Amino acid sequence: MNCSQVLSQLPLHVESDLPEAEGRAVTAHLEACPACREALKRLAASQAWLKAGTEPPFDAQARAALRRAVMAQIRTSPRRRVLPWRPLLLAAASVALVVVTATRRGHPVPPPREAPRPPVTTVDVPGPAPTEALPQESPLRLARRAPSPEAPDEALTDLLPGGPSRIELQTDNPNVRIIWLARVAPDDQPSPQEQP
Amino acid sequence: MLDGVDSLAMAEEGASLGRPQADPLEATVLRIRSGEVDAFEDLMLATEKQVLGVAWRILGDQDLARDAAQETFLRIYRSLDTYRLGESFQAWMYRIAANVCCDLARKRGPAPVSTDTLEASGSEPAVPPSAEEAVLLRQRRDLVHQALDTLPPAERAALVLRDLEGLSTEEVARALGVRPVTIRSQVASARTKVQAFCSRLLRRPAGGRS
Repeated sequence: MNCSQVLSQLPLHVESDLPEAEGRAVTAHLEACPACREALKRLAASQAWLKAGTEPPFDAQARAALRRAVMAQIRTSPRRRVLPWRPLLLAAASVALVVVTATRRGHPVPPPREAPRPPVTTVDVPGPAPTEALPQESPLRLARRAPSPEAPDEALTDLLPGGPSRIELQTDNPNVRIIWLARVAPDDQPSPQEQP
Repeated sequence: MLDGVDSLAMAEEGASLGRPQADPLEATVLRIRSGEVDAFEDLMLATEKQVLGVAWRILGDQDLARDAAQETFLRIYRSLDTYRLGESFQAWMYRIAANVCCDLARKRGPAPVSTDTLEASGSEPAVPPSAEEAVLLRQRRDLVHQALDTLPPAERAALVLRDLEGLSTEEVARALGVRPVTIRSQVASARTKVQAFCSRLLRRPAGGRS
């Protein structure tokens, strides 16, 4: 170790904060180097000066006043107990929140459920001309498909004049639905009030 | 070093004898936790010198140090359930005290030149020194505070806890929430600056100002 290295280590060596091996190397250098010894002496003197000059100026009277002030406050505001299982409960709630959030992000929110449908009593198998097979009082229900998240505007294009229309006939068997795709002429387009 | 820390000496003795090292203040902590409010006064009696001392050394102002000590004890009382039995109570307490002092120091801004030592207060040591000794003591305190005021807050807190409160480097690191290597660097820098302040003081002509 040279003088420069030792001088950089002295602020730690002066309070024995160096690892053992480094402390031994510094000590060995100091035995042979009067200049570094002098530097260590100055550091030790300033440390002693620092410690001697920081005796707190609080006597027994000042400390008693502090105790009275603190005790008066804590007697008026009782301590809130932290129950031992509370951290566990908080951790479990956090995990549950994360799981729910992740699940919702991973799966799109399902479309709102349709209102309950009126019972359908009969099923007519549609003929080749679907637009003619839908009289005003037909027991078959004209259903609009709910917009899918992948193609949210599809339901709107269904009703546009000249665009393809989609007609769904729901039977009384919930697993059977008849779907027709047809192009509807503008004159045949029912007004929104007429839609079921 | 720590004042009135017989309890620490007992704990060290216990460790050296190979017994499991329990913090001697744990029994008092348990009494408080069980609802015995008056036991907190016993806890204060055992620790108030350290709390007031560290606050005064970090803040350099008697009134602020009193406020900091009061706030420290109130926080200790409120959060006593978060102290884990088996850990050093002193280190936990110093952590709270250091946080309170740093908060107050931030609110106060740059430290003004301390006037504590010029105040004629009733809070001098119990045995009154002679007039000449009192003057010398005040001057020395004033100069030490000026030296500490030259340090950045983090270095000052590290130096106070390590060199003036006698905590180990690892305990200071835990108290201030940094790594031990950072504490070593901070105390080395702080010691160098204090020594440079002393050198300037010695070079200064008598009665002159730096």
